[in-house]
This record gives sequence, structure tokens and C-alpha cells, in this order.
Amino acid sequence: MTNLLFAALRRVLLFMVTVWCILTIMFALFKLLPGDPTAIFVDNNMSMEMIVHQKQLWGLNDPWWLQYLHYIGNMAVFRFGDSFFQNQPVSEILLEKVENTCAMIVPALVVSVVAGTILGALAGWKRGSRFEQATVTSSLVLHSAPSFFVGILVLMVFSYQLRWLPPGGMVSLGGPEHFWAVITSSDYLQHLILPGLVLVSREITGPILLVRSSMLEIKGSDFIDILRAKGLTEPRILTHAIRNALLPLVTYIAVMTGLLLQGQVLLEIIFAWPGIGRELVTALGDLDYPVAQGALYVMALVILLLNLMADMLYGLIDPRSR
Amino acid sequence: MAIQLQALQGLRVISRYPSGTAGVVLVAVFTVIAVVGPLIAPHGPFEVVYRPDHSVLRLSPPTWRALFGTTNQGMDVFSQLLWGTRVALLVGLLSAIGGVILGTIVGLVAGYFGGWIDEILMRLTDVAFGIPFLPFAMVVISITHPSLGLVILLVVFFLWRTTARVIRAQVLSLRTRPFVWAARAAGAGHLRILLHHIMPNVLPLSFLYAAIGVQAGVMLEAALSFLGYGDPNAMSWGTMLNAAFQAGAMRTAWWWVLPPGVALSLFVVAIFMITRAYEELLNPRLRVL
Amino acid sequence: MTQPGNRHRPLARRTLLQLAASAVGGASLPAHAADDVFPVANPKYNALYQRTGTYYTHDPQWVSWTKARLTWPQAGDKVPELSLVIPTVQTNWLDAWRKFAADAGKIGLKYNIQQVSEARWLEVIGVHNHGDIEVHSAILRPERVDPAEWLTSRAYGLDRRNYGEWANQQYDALIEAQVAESDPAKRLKLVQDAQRILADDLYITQFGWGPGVIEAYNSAAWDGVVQTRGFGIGSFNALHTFLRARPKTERRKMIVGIHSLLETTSIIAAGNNMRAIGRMIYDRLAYMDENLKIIPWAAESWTRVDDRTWDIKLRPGMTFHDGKPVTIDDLQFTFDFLLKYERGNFWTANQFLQKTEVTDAANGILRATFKQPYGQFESYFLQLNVILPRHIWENIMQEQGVGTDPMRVRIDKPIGSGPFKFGRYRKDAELQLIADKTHFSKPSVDEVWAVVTPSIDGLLGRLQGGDIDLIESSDTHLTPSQAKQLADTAGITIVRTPDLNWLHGVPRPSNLPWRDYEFRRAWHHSIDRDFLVQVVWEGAGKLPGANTFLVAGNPWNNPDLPPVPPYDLGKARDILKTAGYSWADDGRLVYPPPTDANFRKRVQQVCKDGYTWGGLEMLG
Repeated sequence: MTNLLFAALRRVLLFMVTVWCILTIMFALFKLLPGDPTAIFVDNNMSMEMIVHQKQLWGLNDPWWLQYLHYIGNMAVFRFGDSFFQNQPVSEILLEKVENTCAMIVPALVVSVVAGTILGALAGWKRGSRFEQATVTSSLVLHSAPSFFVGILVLMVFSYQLRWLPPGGMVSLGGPEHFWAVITSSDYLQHLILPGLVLVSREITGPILLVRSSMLEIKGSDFIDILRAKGLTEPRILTHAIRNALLPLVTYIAVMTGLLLQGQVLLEIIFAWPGIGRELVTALGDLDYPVAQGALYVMALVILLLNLMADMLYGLIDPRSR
Repeated sequence: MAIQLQALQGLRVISRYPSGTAGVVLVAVFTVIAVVGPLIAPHGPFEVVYRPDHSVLRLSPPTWRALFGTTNQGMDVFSQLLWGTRVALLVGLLSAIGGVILGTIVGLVAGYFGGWIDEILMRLTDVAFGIPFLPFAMVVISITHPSLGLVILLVVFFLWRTTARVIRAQVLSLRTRPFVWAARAAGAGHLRILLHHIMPNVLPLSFLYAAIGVQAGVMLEAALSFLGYGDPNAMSWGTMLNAAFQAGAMRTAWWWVLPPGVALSLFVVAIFMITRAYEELLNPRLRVL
Repeated sequence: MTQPGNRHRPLARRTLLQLAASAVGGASLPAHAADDVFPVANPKYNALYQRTGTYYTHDPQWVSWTKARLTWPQAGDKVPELSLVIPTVQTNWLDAWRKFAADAGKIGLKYNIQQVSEARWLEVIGVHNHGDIEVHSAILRPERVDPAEWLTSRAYGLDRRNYGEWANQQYDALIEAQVAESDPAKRLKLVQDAQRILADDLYITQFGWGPGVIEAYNSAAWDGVVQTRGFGIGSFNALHTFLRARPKTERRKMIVGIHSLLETTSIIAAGNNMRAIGRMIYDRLAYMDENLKIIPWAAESWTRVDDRTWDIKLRPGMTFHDGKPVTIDDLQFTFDFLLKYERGNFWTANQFLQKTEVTDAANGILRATFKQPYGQFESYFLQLNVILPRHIWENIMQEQGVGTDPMRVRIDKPIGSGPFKFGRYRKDAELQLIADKTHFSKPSVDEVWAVVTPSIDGLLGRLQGGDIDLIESSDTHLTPSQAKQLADTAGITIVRTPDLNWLHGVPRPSNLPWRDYEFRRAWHHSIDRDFLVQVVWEGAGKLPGANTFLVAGNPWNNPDLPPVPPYDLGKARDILKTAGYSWADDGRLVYPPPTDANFRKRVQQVCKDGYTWGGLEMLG
């Protein structure tokens, strides 16, 4: 038991070191980022005094090592400061945006994983069948089309032409204001369909292929033969098989979520979804350092956390890795 | 020498699978277009097509003068598609090769030597994994300026981490095999063992990830271009889609939108088919009959 | 119009001297080391080069660039690569420059075009490290109809935003005069004379007048849209449509598609987005009608007492959105507040204001006194200034604990006296503006909803599908091909409004090779403006009539200006040849030899014959 604890602790420690490395890289990146955020004031012909004062306020005049220490300290306690231009604390802005992004990703993820697992398991179980062929080929084709392309196409067809579905946004005009009110409305579900569809079509391939190959491995292993010799029915054997096939899926989900989180920019722009990807693009364009830094940090943190959890989970489940 | 032989053998085996063959053929077609395309293209990628009366042939559906029609500025879509193939392959190939070379070296060294070298290299990989690609790429491109070389470098940075992990796992399992410590007992140095014994065995995996890398590279370049962070002087498929999108022409100018979109998808599917055929080669249980 | 100088470094003896000197009235100081390195023809221009923070002579990048370009070329020296920086978002500019670059290659010039993000571009041009050519497009705002916005800031010798560092003393004298001239007729004459010099001396280069203001709206649901010259029908900056549109169906709320929404809700910290929408919520003192004629708004009338004093009469009967009446105290408070704290948006409007006082409270009259004779009272000062509700802003900074920095004040629900009230707001998604029917402008629309659609593709799609009525046009116009897409849809009408737009560039006359007037002249002939208009703008624009910012249609335009040199590569070559230039074997242009006396004379003179240069001098 202590071995397990020790391993977990070690993992957590390494996690923190990794986070610190990433923070340092990001800090360096932003320091190198040329571009004075007060430049926008020059165009609006604001006073020199104002520009100097603003730089002071934003801590841009401190020596770099002081800025670094402040930065690390603040990031560690999630004190992101105020946005340069939006007059609001960054954490407030980010929280809202992350919620919105999750509102798009999580349902898509759940559907992809569940449907993908079932389809993949069946495909693996029914080795050599037409079903397997069809599933594998179609999921590959779906995965290959660039998601922004697919997004625009479905928008064009289902929204602008057929008018079946709304053209974007999270809820309709005048809809509920607060996050939970939004999530529990059917209006939101309607708005989720198109972007969700695009996401699922892209992400379902992973689970399908993964579970299928897992399934194939297990099917051919002794483990199943033993169960069959013991006289278990097919469906029960199948359930056993699935449970074992799920192992690599666990790690995959962690990685997949991380990838999803940072890849949403395109879909958020096309579907006018007020998420964190779009926020980052805007912040980078405006040189709104606090928001951009905060957003990057949050994304990196989530990815690392998920990887950490996957690692720990894997360590727990898989006896071989002990 | 052994490497080339392996590759050729691999190719021959893949072609035994129908989907794999289709993939190889498609990729070959794309390669030919990449090389020959710009030479046979009727126009340059930014060249404006004029009618005989000197007016601009703007947003024209496919005609004899412009096989795939023209853009909102009168540029020939067909020519752009041909030029774009070269960019796609260039980016795909270079970034995949770079990513795989880097990843393989890291994986080999980490897996073989173990100990603190392994620790450090794996921590580095962890850090690399933690950085979200698209946002990071956008920030870096903002730092300098958009260029194809930069995009390739960024994709290499993104690709090496997966390859490194996978190769390392492979090396770890190989390291304990009898032939390795037999070689060591016979007095072979580390480098020799690495190059002669271990590397040939991880190469197939590297090749697989190289193929995956090509497809990832092309898609990532398209995504970056679509966001407006691509190289504006390189007409890639992503740039074409971005131009159509920014011009608000995506819903009506199907001739402008479908070719690059379909080209992207086809290319990725082709690579996919190759990699899957190859995967099944490495792992017979995966074969679809 | 000097900027208040400001040093970054800790106070040094020299700075104290300087402060003392400026208190006494700007006596000149002992020459700084950098003065010797970069001599100027007229010492008055040192204010720009020596005393603007860490810029120019204190910026090593600027110094090394400028030094190289102020060094006499040796025999056989080629004209260097000409560099320019373009923001990536401006794909149109790049498309035009590709053609310009190809053409320039034919006369031996090589361009180095760099694309960077918009913020980076602003920074680079702000410190004059952009290279040879600075490109800019017109973004019209009500206060920018006033000629000073462009004539002064972009071409006046002492202005930071004069990116090419042109210093024509005759021009500058005219600019200084027109700032102080409060008689509109006299000011017009000064402005027109200034335009003549600008065009004559070949400083600014108009590439095209356009792109045209093309918009589309839902004519099945709305009638009575108002076309404001230069702005169109759907801009929050020219909100007449929102006041006067008449619904044709039961729906009395107008839905407007917009790229992004509200970087902030505080008018003090406002960027472009909030400043535009802010006009719906906060009243400014004066406004303009659809023909750009200045009309009273929150100020019912104003009278000039003398050339630096004006009386403003507040319109009676106005109320804030929370029901409280607007009084002269609110106006007085606003000026006090802005003068005391504001160094941002409202600073430019009020930088010459000395004081305000209520002279007749019963009739709502406030007297504004300026530090010097001021000519932009109604076209700039009144256009920009708002009325803040005193009962909200009086203590807000203490309440929120932001010290003396109004930029940090958080306003969750702006309260103004404007024609529309701030309603429901979901950040980055939508904003509801509810008409205040008691407002003196009597808005006929009940509500205006702004819906965020980040892509033009989305905007077009939603318009076509009837999800929005209008596309907000402070920064988005349609191209002819986009309009064509919509024209076939029933219920959508395309509207084209006369525009005041332009795309211009300035070279760098303070540097070689631009110092040579003949080189500038030849360069003008190498630019295919027709390509920009016909191909890039798809025909929605026209060739510039002259090299002026105040285009035909702008009330300040001078119709009698020398025409723009036509596109003629042969002519360009001839001019260069006659001027002493030659071409190397690789085709690149080569400077005239050091023995060419005419060349030396032209380079030292910079300006055309008859004008006097005041800026940087050649080194050695």
C-alpha cells in the first residue's frame, strides 16, 4: 500500500514540476512577444502620460525577474489579475468561457466515448463482418475531413438552407442569462446539435478503433477461451471482454479531452460559441496579456491534470504496471 | 542500406491490402501533383484571370477559362489547388520527418539508457505534452511573423512527443531481450547495439508515426492557415479555405470551397489507409479480412 | 500641437532643468548628445526627436535605422530594400501590395513586406520602426470628419503619428493656424491651402478612394433606413437608422449582427466597440446629421464669446435612464471629472480646455474657456464629450476602491441619457438596447439587439436567413460579390452610401531615398492604383482624385488639387534616369553618384522648390 502511495506522491510532485516548467516557458514566450499593449493607445492618440502610467499599472516597468516572481506566485494561487482592456478580473472572464466550452465539449465527449465504445466493441467482436468494415471505413473518412470544413458545410445545409437548426451561439436571442439556466434549456440543446455533431464525427473514431483493437487482442487471448470453457454465455463473455478493453480507453479519454479543450477555436468562431478558444484568439490579437496568459495556463493545467489522473488510474487498474 | 530494404519490403507488403494499396496510389498521385503541378498550372497562385475585354473574371463557376472557377479576386482555383499540393506535401513531409527523427532519438536514448537520462527526457516530454498546440502556435507566430518554415517547426515540436513516448516503450521491451545482452556480452558498444540491434526493430514504428505525422502536419497547417496564422505567401489548401471564408463566399462559391476541402480529406484518408494497413502488418490480429 | 514630453528615466539634473525651463516658457536647453548626432534643420522639431519618452533618438533601433538612411551613398550604392509592415488581418492591403511590389521590381525597387499582428503593427508604427512605408486606411468616426484628425496627426511635423516624419514648415504653419482659427470660413481656407501643400510636396500617397460602403438590410421588415454619408445605414456611430427606421411588421425590435461585443461597459475605459455603442447610451453634446452637418444634441445651442471662450446651453428636459433629470450640474461635474482624471479617450477632446463654469444655472448655460484660440469646438470638442450622471460617478471611485484611476471603474450597467437604455447583456453573445421613448430624438424602434457573429460568413448567412436585419457597419462593409449573393434573396435590399474612405500610405521623406523629391515622383508613377480598385476592391471604389485625406464628398475637401501621378512604369524610369539614377546588372536601382550636385541639392532640400524642410538633416 505504501508503495502505491509513494508512487502517487511522486507523480503529484512531478506534476507540479511540469506545471512550473510550462509556466516558465509561457512567461518567456510572453516576454518575447513583441508588442506593447499600450500601442493601441497611441493610435487613439492618448497622452504620453497615460501610456506611461498604464505601463506602470500593468507592471511592465519592473525588471524581468521581478515580473517573473510575481507571475509564478500569482499563477500558483490562480490570481490572474484584471484584464488589460476588459475591465474585469481575468478569472471571471475565464470561468465563464471555460464553462461555455465545456458545455460544448462534454456532451460531445460523452456521446463519442459511449457510442464509440459500443460500436468499436461490436466491430471487434464481429470480426471480419461487413459491419466491421463499414464502421472502420466510415469512421476513418469522417475523421479525415477537417472539422472547420465540415462545420461550415453542416451550418450551410442545416441552418441557412433548410432552416432546421439555429445558425450559431449557445442560446437564442433573449434566452436565459445564467449558465445553469442555459444548460438546462432545450434551446441550448438545439444549439448544441450542429457543433456537437461535428465534434462527435471527428472524435468518435478514436474510441471505435481503440476499443476494436483492444477487443481483438482480448478475443484472441487465452482469457476468453478459459471463460468459454467455463461455460459462460456469449453476452457475459462480451461484457468481460469489454471491461478489459476499456483500459487503454481510459488513458485515451484523458488525452482526448486535453486535445479537445485547446482545439476548439475554429468551431467556436464558426458557430459563434463564446468559449475559451475564441477568447484566447481575441486576447492574443489585443495583446491582453493577463487574459491570454490565464487562458493558456488553464488549458495547460487541465491537460496535465487529466494526464495525471489517467496515469494514476492506469496505475490502479492495470496490475501489470505495478 | 538495411533501412531502405526494410522500407521497400514494407511497401510491398502493404500493397497486399486493398485499402493500403489505394492509400499508396493516392499518395503517389498527390506526390506527382506536388512535383509537376506548379509546372502545368495555367496560372500562378496569385495571378488574376482576365476576360478578353480586360475585366476580372471574378467568382466564376467552372468554365473552360478556369477549370475550377475563380476566387473573389479572380484567381484561378485550379492553379491554386495545384500549387497548394506542393505546400501540403512539403509541410507534411518535412514536419513528419523532423518530428519522427527527433522523437525516435529521444525515445531511443531515454529507453535504452534509462536512469536519470530517461527521467529528464520524459519530464521534457511531459512538459511538451502539457502545452496546448494551437494556442502555443498562435502565440509563437505572433512573436515573429507567419512563415511556412515556422509552421513546420511548430508541427515538429508537436509531433515528437508522441513518437518519443511510443518508441521509448518499444525500446524498453526490446532492451530486455536476449539478443541485446548477448551483444553486450560479446563486447559491443552502446552505439553499435543501438544502431544495429535496436533501431531496426523500432523503425517500423517510426515509419508508422511518420505517416501519422504527415497527416497531422497537413491538418495543423490547414487549421493555422484557416485561423489566419498561416504563411500568406504560400498558397496552401488551408489558405484557400481561409480566403473563401473571409470573403464570405463559402456558402455560394462551392467550386472554391470543395476542391481544397476534398483534397485535404482525401490526402488524410489516404495516409490513414496506409497507416492502418501498416498497423495491421505489425499486429496480425488487427487485420480486417 | 506638441505632446507633453515625458521622460522614462529617474529624475536627473537635466530633467529638473528641463522642467524649470518649460515652466518659464520653453527656453531651449543645452544640446543633448543626441542633438549633435541627429541635427534638424529647424530646432523646434527637436521637441519630437529628443523629448518623446524612450522613442526616436532614445530608441536604439530607430537610431541605427535612421543613421543608415541619413548617410550619403557612395558611388554604386544601390537603393536599399524598401520595407513595410502590414497587419495580417488586412488581407486586402497585402493583395494590393503584391502587385505594387511586382511593378516596383520592374523599375529596380525591391520591397520587403512583413506581416504581423495588428497590435504589433500599431506598436511598430507608433515608434516609427516600421521601415519605409506606412499604410493606413480610413476608419471614420463622427469626430474624424474634422480635418484635424488626419491633416494634423498624420502630416504635422511635430505629431507622433506623422509616421514618415515629414516636416514642411509652410504646411506646419498652416496647421498651427487652423487649430486656433475659430471662424469656420477662414479655417476652411487654411485647411484647403494645407491640402494643396500636402499634395504638391508628394508626401501622403492615396492608393484608392474606397472601399465603398455597401450594406444590406431586411427590407421586408424595415423601412426608412437612413444613409449617413461615409457611414452607411448600420453604424452605431451614425445611429440615425436606429432612431428613424419604421417597422413594416409587428416586430418592433431590430436585430443587428456584430463581430464582437463590448470589450468593456465603462465609457471611460472604452475601446472602439464601446465608444460606438456608447453613442446609443450616452449623449454627446453635439452630433451630425446624415449629411455630416453638425447638429445640436445634448447641447441645445452654443455661442462663441471670443476665440477661446464658448457658452454651451444644455438642452432642458432630458433624463437619465434611472429617471433622474439631467442638469447643468451634471455637465459641470463631467468636465471637472474628465479634466481631473482623464488621460485616455477624452483627453484628446479636452487637452486644450482650461476651465468650465456654470454662468447661468437657471437657463442651463456653461462657459468653456480654452488655453489658446481653438478652432475645433463644434466638430471635435462637442462631438466627443459626454454627459456623465453625477449621482453615479461622483463617488464611484471611492466606492470601488480604485483610487484615482477611472480606467479601473467597473460599470455593470451603464446609465446615460442617450436614446437607448442598456438592457440584457450576455458577454460576447448579445446586447439588448431598449429605446427611451422620452428621449428628444424620439426613437421609432422599440429595441435594438446586437448579436455577436464572429465571421462574415455567419453574418451573411444570418442576414439571408432572416435571423438578423442589419450588419453593424462601424468596421464591416460588404464587398460587391457578397452583396451580389444577397441581392437575389427576397426581402433583402442592397444599399450603397457615398463613402469618405481611402487607403493611403506615407513614405519616409526624412530618410533616403525618399528625401529625393524626384524619387518620390517616380515612385508615385509605379503604383497601379487601378489594380487596387478593380481587383482587390472588386470595383467598389475609385481612383483617387488627388493626394488628400479629405476626399471628394468631405465638406473640407479642396477640389483644386494637382492630380495623382498616373500609373506609368515607363515614365517612372524616365524620371529616375533624368534624376541621375542608374540600374545595376541585377536590375536594382542605383543612387546617383556623389558628384551629382543636383541630387545633393534635392536630398538636402527634401521638399519641392518653394517649400522649406524643417526636419532631420543628412549626416555629413
